[in-house]
Amino acid sequence: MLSVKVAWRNLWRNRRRTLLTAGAVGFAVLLVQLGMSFQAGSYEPMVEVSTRFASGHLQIQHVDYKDDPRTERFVSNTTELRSHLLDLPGINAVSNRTESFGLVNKDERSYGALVVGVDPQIDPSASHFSDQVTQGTYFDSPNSAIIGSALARNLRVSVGDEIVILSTDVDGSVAFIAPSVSGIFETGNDALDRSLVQVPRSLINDALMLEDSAHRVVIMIDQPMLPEQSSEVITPLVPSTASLLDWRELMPEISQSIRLDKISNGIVYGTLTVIVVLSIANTFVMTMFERTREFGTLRAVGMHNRSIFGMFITETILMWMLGVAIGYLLSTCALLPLINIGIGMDSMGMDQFAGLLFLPDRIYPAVDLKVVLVAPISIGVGMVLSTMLASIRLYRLSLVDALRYRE
Amino acid sequence: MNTFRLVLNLSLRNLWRQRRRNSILVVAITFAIGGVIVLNSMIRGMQVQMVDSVVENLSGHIKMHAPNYRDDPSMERGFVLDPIRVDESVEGLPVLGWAARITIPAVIMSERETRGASLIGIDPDRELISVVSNFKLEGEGLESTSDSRVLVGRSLLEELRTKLGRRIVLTTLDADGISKEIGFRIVGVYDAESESMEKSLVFTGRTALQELLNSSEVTEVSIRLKTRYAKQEDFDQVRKSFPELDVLDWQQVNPIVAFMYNTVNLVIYIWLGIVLGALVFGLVNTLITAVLERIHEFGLFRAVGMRSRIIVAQVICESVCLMILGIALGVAGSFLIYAWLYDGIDLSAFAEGVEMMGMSSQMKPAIVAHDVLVVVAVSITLAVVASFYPARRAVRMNPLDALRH
Repeated sequence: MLSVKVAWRNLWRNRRRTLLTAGAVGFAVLLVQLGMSFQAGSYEPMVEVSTRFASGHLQIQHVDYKDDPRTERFVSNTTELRSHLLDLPGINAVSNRTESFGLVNKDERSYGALVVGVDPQIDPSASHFSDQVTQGTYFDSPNSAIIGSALARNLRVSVGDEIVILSTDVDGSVAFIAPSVSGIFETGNDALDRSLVQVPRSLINDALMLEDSAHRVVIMIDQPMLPEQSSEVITPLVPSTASLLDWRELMPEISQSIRLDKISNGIVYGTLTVIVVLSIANTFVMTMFERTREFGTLRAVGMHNRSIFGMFITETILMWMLGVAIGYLLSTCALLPLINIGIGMDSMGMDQFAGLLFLPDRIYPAVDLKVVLVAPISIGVGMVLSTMLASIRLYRLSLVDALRYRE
Repeated sequence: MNTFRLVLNLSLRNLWRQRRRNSILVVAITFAIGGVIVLNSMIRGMQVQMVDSVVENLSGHIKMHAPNYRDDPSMERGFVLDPIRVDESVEGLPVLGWAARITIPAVIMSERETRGASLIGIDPDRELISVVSNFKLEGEGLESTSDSRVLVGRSLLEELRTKLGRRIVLTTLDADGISKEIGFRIVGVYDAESESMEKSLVFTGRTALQELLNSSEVTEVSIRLKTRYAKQEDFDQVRKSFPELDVLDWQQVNPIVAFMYNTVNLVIYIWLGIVLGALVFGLVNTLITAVLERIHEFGLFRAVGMRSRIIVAQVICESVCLMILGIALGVAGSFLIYAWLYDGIDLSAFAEGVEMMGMSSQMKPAIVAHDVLVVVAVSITLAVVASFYPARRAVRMNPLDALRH
């Protein structure tokens, strides 16, 4: 306890230097924490938005469907599969979808589009499409369709019109359906708005002779950032001709840009930490020189080198704690309001791409254990190493030299 | 002049007196400056690459469409090409070339599969300005603008489960908005850097396509300049010549890439601010110590008649010298790293992710002289500012008190 007291007093012998050093620690902690908390807060919403417009969190599909999607590569008996899946823990929605590339015709006009068959009662629990219908309603009869806004304009289709969709069934023969358009959706994502049509799964499955099959069994789970846990539970239920894929495999561009973002930010944080630690190391070396005679005196009255070194380390740790406290205080002040309000994409000029890049409207910083600990621990390790480096002098100098030392 | 030499001399000797502590500070500065320049060069490299690939990938620097084409890309939204007018509109500009094309959505059917893609009618002789001329081809290329065969991307060919030399049927709308099915023979298969391009673009001759669709119009003209960036004046000149068309620059054609491009300029300065902010703590700490331990000395100088201005100048000079040394080492170090990374960093493990951001999977750094100058100027300013407070302390004390210190 005495050594802590002595170390604490030593720190305040040079108040300005202590405050500057602690300030440097606080500055680095604040910046790294702010950056990391925004990263941590943005990944999950980004995954959530993109999975709800596209792949879902996990999918069961025919083993070859992902590389080469064909109508005859389906998963069968999906209603039964769905009810088994829903009994598992950690799963909050399962939606079966049939897919087929089709030619959409209205009068003399025709465009190609991806035709997706969904169960109108079920699919809204796994996707955002039902909220994006801007004209008409989300499916009003078993023979209806919802269609992207750009496609509707290009086909000159409005709500209530009948469209004819031509496609090929499992045997390769031509199949067609003629639903009436009950709604037009606008997601903001050009590719979806231009080339997607959704119809009831019963309608398209009848036409393609798919019975109760689906091309994608889309599963939504409670912990989308940790799909491995759910995968383990689900795997026993996956049919032998099918495979289970998570969103990272289904949307590699999203998971890769998250990884790329983590790496590039890691480089930034690393450089920042090194600069701060070097500044601190410099301060420690200066301190050592100034206090050479003090060591001499302490050793002359019988203190061991080990104890003197211990005192230094204690000083370092106290200074580190002070700096981390400053950093925590500042980042709490900055983060508390932001965690509640978030930052709107519009304030960064990003709202125009929200649909295109699957961005949420607002991002809220998230604080987890990693955010709280990474910066303080890496700076702390750097500071202890710097102290050791600076203390080499302690062991090299003889008692007499130390006492005679003049600045 | 003599005063300046005296100040410089004193400063350098003082720095040498404390070489151990100063060298650590120089290492910190080197690290900071080097880190900033290396990171900036990567960001700039990415930026340059984004622009280059966007400009090369059919958008060019300036693009013209009929109004409403972008909302409803079809043959009905075409315009009559007047080559003489286009040539006149770009007169005096550093033009590499221009190309007129037809780009319309189409449904492609092979014997087995159906896919959607864009059908692009080109004049092969004019496509030297775009990525089309760099395609690695299996089979042949298109011979001329009246060649009515098609070039298909490798990925699309595989999805269609067809082969070079086979026929495919494309369904698209003609000039009257009526669906038309047209058979094409696959004359060549291309490999492009971007898989999404391979999947979505099918090329044929422009004149041939016009005949098949009963049209004499085109849907776009793309102009490529010799310079990397188009100037606003260049753009305005073209726009004035075609008031009836939508004349867009590459930023309007590719808003996401443009946004990222512009954000980058901001990121570079934020990063510079953060690093120098971190450096300031170490710099001020060292300088204050250096001043405080020499209070007695400064008192002596002033007692023998040295003016306080010169003492202030000396402290500032020490700080600036330290900074200059750190900058020199940092710049040298960053150029070494730049040379080492010159061939590019392989990002192919993130291929889809970088493609989404409009980058290529080889990231090449690019050092921009202007950025380096900004870094140097800002850090030297910082050295002056950071030393000012310690220097003032050095001379504020009464010489008698200082001597007794």
